[in-house]
Amino acid sequence: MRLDFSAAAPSPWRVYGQRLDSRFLIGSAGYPSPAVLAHAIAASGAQVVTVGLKRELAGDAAPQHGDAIAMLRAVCDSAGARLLPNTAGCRSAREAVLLAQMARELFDTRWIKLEVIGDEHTLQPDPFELVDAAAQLVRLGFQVFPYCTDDLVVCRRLLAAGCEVLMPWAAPIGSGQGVLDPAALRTLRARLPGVPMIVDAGLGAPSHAAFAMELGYDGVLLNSAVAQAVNPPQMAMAFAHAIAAGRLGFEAGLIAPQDMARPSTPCGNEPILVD
Amino acid sequence: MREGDDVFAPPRVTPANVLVNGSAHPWRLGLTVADVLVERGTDDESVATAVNTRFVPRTARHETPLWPDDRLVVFSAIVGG
Repeated sequence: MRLDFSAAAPSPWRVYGQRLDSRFLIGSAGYPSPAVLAHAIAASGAQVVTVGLKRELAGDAAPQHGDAIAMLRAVCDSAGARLLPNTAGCRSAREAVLLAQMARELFDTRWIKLEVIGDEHTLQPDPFELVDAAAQLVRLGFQVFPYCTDDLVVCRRLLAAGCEVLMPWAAPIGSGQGVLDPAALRTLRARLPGVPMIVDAGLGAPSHAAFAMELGYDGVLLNSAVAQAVNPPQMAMAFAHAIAAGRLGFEAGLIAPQDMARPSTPCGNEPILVD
Repeated sequence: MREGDDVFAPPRVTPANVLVNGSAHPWRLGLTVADVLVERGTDDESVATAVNTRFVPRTARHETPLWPDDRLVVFSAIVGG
């Protein structure tokens, strides 16, 4: 058998017509400095970087915000990465639609990571406001990346509203718990084949990301696990390897787990008799 | 009018303001969103604006008048997850 080493990289994928070779989407918040953020993005190989908006006048902004954004734009331009603005902090469809319109102007993109939070403690998305906001934004020409729960029916409603990608959570934002409900994510993947889906939020370790990718998810979006690591660029690289490994494993075809042993050495069932 | 008030005193006039991100900003007739950004020293390109929760695109700021008690919100880009 001849080895094809091009197969050592996961296959490219598309979201809203955009080809992406990396399956790692990375957040830009909470890094120790803009320089560390730049190194982490480079180490991640990510082609999508999330950003946000804050209610402040440019002159009043903390200087590090301006530095980080200027650096982010430069790093993303040179790497060919796209910015994905979010609607973090929104509690209603009305707020989210307004913030998305502002984001489109500020970042010059139709892409929007739609966040509409329904609970302060878990930061769980509000499914009703989320679907309402998604439908409005699609009508306004946005390409919506909804941050949602792993509820199949809500996901179907988001698709019906015009979303072409889904971003179910693994666990509450920033909790680092990993995939809390593998069965729900398996169900989503099985019932919505062909829909680009990104596991977003709650991952804490590279192994969590590999697991999500082995379930057949198309990508992983995370922030805190890298930004709050002792060495963010190194952690970004660790996640990049894990995400690629998980995807390769999925594409290669995992064996089905079973309760009983199956001998791997084909020595037959005859006992080995030593005279 | 309360008992003890000076009925011959001129009416008290409260200066009119607009609220910019929750802070009072002096209002005058003809004040626009673009004017407020200039007066606050804000780079027009680096912010997005809304008045009374309605988005005001950059191209419309010069033609968007403000009235007393209008709420102008100004958003800037930041890092995010």
